[in-house]
Amino acid sequence: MLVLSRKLNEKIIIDDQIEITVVGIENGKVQLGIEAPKEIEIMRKELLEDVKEENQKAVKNKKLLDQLNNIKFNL
Amino acid sequence: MEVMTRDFGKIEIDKSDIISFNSGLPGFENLKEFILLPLAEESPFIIMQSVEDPDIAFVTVEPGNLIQNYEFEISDKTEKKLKIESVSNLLILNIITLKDDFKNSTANLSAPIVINLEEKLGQQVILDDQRYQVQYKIFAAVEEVAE
Repeated sequence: MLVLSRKLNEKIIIDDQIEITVVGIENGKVQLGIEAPKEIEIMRKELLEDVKEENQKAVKNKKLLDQLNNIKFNL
Repeated sequence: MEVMTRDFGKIEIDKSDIISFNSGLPGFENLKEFILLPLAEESPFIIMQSVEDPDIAFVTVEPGNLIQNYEFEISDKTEKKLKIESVSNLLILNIITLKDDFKNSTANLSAPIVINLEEKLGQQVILDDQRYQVQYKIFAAVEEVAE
């Protein structure tokens, strides 16, 4: 892994097309501005981990299925 | 063709009913083919069953049953991947996680399943949107509306 130090408002460029700027540093929190082509997908990694975990939980609910048959939504 | 399912035993399906998830689903990257089966007649719930693994099936529901004004943008990349040309052929589903204490069951609003019914292509997309939670309590919502 490459480790770089950057100060506030300094940037990193990845592969000529992704530009990351440190836009804020406060109380152990770093705010990043990211400029990248539209086709590059960017997301917080823990969100992907959360979705993986949730999907794995979701397939373990067979024994509860019968209860679902009694439910009607009002929306 | 015959498919073994988790909830309905062995069933006969038409090959053309299979939805291809070319990247799998997060946590199930190896499973690429699913079929949609209604839980029961008139039930809003749809079982999304893996064709490749009988043990893997998701309970899903269309978001309109859960909340109003659910909205998100489909990225150009996903649009291309799913060959989306018109929204009218899209089916959006959210995965339900049933809990032992049934009232605490949740829906994943943060990662809807987008299916192009015309091309039979699907993908679970992840929304980085603070409004939509991975664990949205579905019955809390129903009660609120009833009041």
